[in-house]
Amino acid sequence: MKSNDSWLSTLNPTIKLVTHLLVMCVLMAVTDPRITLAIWIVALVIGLTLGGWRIPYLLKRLLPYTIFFVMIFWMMAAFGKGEHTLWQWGWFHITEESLNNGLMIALRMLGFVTYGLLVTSTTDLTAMIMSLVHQCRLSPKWAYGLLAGFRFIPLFQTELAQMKSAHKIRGYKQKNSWKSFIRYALPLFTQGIRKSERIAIAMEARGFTGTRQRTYYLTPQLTGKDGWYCGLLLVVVLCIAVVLKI
Amino acid sequence: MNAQPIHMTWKMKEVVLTVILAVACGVIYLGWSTLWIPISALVGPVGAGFMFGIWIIASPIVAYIIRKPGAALIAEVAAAAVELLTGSHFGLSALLIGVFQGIGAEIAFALFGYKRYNLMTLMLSGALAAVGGVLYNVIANGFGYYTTQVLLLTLIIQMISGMILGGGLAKIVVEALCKTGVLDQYEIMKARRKKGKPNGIASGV
Repeated sequence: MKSNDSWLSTLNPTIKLVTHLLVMCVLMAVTDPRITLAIWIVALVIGLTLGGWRIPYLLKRLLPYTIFFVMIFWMMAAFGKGEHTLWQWGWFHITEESLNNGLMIALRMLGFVTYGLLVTSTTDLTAMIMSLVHQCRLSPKWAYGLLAGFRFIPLFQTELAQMKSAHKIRGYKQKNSWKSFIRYALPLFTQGIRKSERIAIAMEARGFTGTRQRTYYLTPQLTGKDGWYCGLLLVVVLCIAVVLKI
Repeated sequence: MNAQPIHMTWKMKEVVLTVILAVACGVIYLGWSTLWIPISALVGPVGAGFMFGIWIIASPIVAYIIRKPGAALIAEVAAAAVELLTGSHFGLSALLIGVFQGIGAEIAFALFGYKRYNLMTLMLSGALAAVGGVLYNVIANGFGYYTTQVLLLTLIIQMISGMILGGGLAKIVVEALCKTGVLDQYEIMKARRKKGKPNGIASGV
């Protein structure tokens, strides 16, 4: 999660997260594919105007999703319920209703992905966690614990890849079973536990107690434009939902 | 009445252990999401449910080691956050489903007052996490539109998968971790030493 230098990135991270989660809740309540499509287009417009997205970036992020789009659509269409059968083969059973639902669900997922991307592409992880400390009273102990832990994602990814190649070169056939899970998970976990212990000791040795009475390098604040963005976006989305329903 | 009071305050090393184990699980999950949808498109949500269990393993593993209220929920949410942070396609929805599954897993331990940590509660947490996951899918991903048989079958298969691949596998993994000795200073081994089983390997495997 890294920030870009768009207008959206200047908003308070917590407000941004909550606003977009609320929009996702609206998306969950909507059952009409046209409304879902309209709300998704709002996200695209915001991304391209306020979010600093370029068209190539957008294509790069959303194109892989088109495969998922087709698959989710297919899943709903082939396994959904409905009366008017259009096509049947084997265990697949496509009806008019399931086709409609499939389209709506696939669009909804697309909406989730795009609204999620609006948050993740414009928010810095450290700012996000610090904002949770100041706006949501997250305990500093957890805040810094989380920050320290998330630092290890890339390291664990390389370690996992390394272990996989080490196994491969020694002729281990990777079966997708729980045994192969243990094979990779166990060394990853033991190393992780050792590291976590060292980090905790290092933090405490430097006087970190996790109390609230401490100074902060970053203190995200709430400003007027946070309220405006939250309010306007929700009003627009709700208007779309109401107007298109009639 | 109870010999062992529940410790509510988290030590720093428990906080970091929870996050790091959850992150490690999250990294393992990453490959899983991309595998998931192609398979479910072919055999439907029913068949793909067999793989579900791995996805919730963070909760039972961490709760079994740390044994504190909230451990299961926090672990699953932190593991789900990995998907968000690495820029997975599922982003915020992965985080939301993590919250639902985490609450499900947490209920299993809360039911026993955070005092019982054995294979039974671990498997129960796997099953309840599956219920939470299906609940989210009904609300958000339109699982309610599947035919009733498909939905029920999905729920049952995911619960079984959650019990075996989630709870059962978590037990095996943690027992193996105990043998390595890295967990000696954590609640799981402390509880065992109190019971007078110093290496703790013999119990309940």
